[in-house]
Amino acid sequence: MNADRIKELLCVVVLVVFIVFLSGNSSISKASGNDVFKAVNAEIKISKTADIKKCNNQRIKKEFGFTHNDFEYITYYASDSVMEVRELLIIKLQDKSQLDSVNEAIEKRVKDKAELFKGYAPEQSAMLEKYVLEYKKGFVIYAVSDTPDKLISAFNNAI
Amino acid sequence: MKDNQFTKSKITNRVESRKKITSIGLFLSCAFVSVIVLVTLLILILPDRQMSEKENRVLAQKPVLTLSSITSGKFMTDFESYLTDQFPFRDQIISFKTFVDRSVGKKEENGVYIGKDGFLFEQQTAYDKSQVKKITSAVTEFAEKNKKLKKAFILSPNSSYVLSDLLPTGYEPESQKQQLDRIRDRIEPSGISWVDCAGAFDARTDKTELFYRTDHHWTTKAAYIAFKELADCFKISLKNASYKFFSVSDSFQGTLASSSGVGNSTDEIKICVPQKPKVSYVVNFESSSKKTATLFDKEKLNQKNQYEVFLGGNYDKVIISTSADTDDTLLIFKDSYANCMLPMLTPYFAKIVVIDPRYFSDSLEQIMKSYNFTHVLFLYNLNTFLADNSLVDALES
Amino acid sequence: MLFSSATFLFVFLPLVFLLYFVPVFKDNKTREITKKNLVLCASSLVFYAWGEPVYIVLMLISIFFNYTIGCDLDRNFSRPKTRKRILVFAVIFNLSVLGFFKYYGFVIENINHLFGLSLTHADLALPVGISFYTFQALSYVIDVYRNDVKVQKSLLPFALYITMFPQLIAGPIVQYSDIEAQLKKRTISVRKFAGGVLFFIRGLGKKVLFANFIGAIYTDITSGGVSSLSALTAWIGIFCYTMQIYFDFSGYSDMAIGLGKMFGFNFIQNFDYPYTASSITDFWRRWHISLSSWFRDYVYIPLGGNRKGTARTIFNISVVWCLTGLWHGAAWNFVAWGAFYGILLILEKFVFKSLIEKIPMSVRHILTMLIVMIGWVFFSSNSLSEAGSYLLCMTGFGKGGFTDSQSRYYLTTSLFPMLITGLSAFGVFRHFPKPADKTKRLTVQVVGYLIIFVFCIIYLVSETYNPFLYFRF
Repeated sequence: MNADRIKELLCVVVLVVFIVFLSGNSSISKASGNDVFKAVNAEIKISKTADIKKCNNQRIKKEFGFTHNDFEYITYYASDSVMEVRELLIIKLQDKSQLDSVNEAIEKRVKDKAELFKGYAPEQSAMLEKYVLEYKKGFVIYAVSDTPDKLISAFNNAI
Repeated sequence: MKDNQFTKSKITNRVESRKKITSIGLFLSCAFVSVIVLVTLLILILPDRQMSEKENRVLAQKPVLTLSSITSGKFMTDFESYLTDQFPFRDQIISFKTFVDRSVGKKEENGVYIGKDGFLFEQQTAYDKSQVKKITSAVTEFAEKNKKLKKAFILSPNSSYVLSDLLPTGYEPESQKQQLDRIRDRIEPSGISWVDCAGAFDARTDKTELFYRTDHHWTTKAAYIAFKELADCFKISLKNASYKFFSVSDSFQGTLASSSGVGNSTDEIKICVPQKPKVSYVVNFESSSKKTATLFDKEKLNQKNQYEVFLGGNYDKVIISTSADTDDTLLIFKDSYANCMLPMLTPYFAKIVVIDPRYFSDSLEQIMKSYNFTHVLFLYNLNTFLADNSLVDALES
Repeated sequence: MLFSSATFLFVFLPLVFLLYFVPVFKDNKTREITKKNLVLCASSLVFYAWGEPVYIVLMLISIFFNYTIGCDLDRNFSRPKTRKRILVFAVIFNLSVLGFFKYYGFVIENINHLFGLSLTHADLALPVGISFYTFQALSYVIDVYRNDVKVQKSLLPFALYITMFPQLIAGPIVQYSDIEAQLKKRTISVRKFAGGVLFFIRGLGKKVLFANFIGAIYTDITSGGVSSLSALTAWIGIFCYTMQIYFDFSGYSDMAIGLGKMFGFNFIQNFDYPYTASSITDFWRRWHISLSSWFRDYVYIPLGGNRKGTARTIFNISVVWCLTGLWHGAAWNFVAWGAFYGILLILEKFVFKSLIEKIPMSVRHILTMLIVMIGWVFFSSNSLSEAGSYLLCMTGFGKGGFTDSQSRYYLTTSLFPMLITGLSAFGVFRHFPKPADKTKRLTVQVVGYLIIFVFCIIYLVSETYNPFLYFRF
């Protein structure tokens, strides 16, 4: 086999690896929900932020319309105070078909909330605009925080 | 001989014109490159701004360069919004653009319609039957549960209805009158008095004084008209009452001016203060643990959104305790239209609890228990009401 | 990155100019052109990675693969059978990549629909420009196979051919034979640069001032659903879309041609006043010329073109037009759009040929325009059923009737922009008297274009949201 053939086949191999890598993101991670939460929390320390506490299942139901039993894992941290917009939601889906409805519900909520502060509380609006909503390997993270970039990398690393 | 000379001059002519063309080309190339470079330099030199007063929002800042922000492409989108947000003379550029837009006949800018006489109009919220049904049944259910209380509903039409003559030519939104009537039919049978704002406004000849040119709110004058109608419903006699209007600003440019970028007119803000009977009061903003002796916040006149002079903005719950000689207490569910009317109500209630369901997350049941309300008022404008998704939750909490 | 973005205009372009034009090897022309190629190739990769950081890998694979195939074909110069095998392999490889990233989801969904299955598929984003650069690579491989061009033995010029940022994401689809010589040697002059600037500003103006403005009206009209539009509104809407898609796409092509000129390249023209066409055949000679020529050279003619009898010609045309439709997007409405044109072209060629010649010219122009606008309904809709209900509205038998307050509103507020865009698309301004003196004419043009450029910047800054329509291909 000559050198050109080898290079051509090499291209095919690299292509297949690349596609597998891309599709890899659609598999489900083995990490547990709690580990992921811990990793993210280590970055933004939301559990220690004043006013913010872990919310119960009723609150989750009220805010997002999610029933906790539908998911493998769900945790939500937020404040009771109206003017505090920082919050964190981590979900591990049971299967990927839930993703669309979850995204939709979260996006609707962000939109409603942004509408509330629009033209009235600029800092809150700006922070809401930088909200994070990411899906990776079975996990959904939604957060409003001061450091969205760091939070995403912590999330990605944990998975 | 002659021929030769002729060709010679022709050739020199051609050389001349080639030279000229090249120098025009050089000029164009230089001009193009220098415009680009000049802008680049200005972006580099001018300090970054934090806030845009004009757009009333925080501007994008230089994004942080990390490996993950690059691979996800976030850095690139952030960088683009950083550049456009920090673009030199951004505010002036946007004003100029809206000016050009209007010169070519554009009558809408960012969801705001540009009407006649300097009036700007908010886009009307679409009438969603099932949504209205949901809210009105929550309201009637609440009314059935609280039969003994005197209840009233103020639902103000918006300027696009009241001042429909001033809408841009050709823009004919659905009539709010019919929508109001449909809502009235659903609400009135449950024993809530309907305050007919639309009727009262329609009867006026000075309609342009009822709404701001640059803001989506009604004026204090319109609120006063609605208040008089309300007083009728609540059987409050205004015979001996006297109210005085003071002008506090004539440089107001409201939300419609902000979101459209059209800023060639300003509005006057008036406040209305009851003179007789005169009462004093304390306002308790519970959630931010703040107490004041006034319903006005003069500080807010120095900021962009001067409408916040009324009540200082929107709060989830405000409790007003007055020295009024009565046992009547009032519960209000409201949007920001109510803010300029609150002072007018103070002489007639010992306590007024103002709830803005959009921000409210307490339990209504608790509040109903701790205060012995005698009156309930719902006060909304139609656009907000039709888009509302929080009143139902508040009423059921 | 988009040409009409602040990042491109004020950061990327000045940097590339600096690196490209400041000479490093003053005395060595070969080295200098290699440096220029390197700068252009590297900046093109940055340009691509800016919008698609991950898919840069895919592009590098494609470059390296097709380059190697070229060398392989050359090495086996005297073995026709091996060459054929290599060609088939290369075509399959390129089409599989395109197929996987562009059509996989579409195919799976249709299979699911047909057989009631629920196969899942990873939904990967469509790599920008993949349809364009795959076609360019294919044209190179096929031309080398046919011995129409010489093989490119060094990687850099080949990589530059595939990546060159002016035409990378939205064409024109440059054929290797057109540009082969320029990769080695090209003239760079002030006059050519200035000509490029004129082209670029014209393109930018078409995109930012015309397409975005008129497109906003179409978006506005269709935002509330299309089933209850009145006939007049529907026609105003599709007219605006007709204008938007032309100015958007031809503007992008003009910018590409202009940038190419600045760097010393000559690309072929991609649009020639398509809306002045007098027949559908004529329209497709003027619209997206580089794509039609690609299909002609690499599909239609190899299939036998029109030399194998009427039945075969009809078959060939049908194949080409279904593929053209599908090339524009993985959805049935694009296939319908392609088939629509295929059928019209067949009718024009075989059935109505003599009839058409009898129709007066002005009527032919109007008829062509109406057909093109109806075609855009298929193209602009999200699904076939949406296209159907839009067409119903256009007939006036929809729920909206013939006119309503909405159509009066659009007519009064949008008449002026519609007139201006319409007149320029129909080429009316071309015939305006110009100063006879060439220098005078140029001066007027230059000043006018600079003003347009400033206006473009103003509109660019005012619009925070500015997506480019031709992206989904």
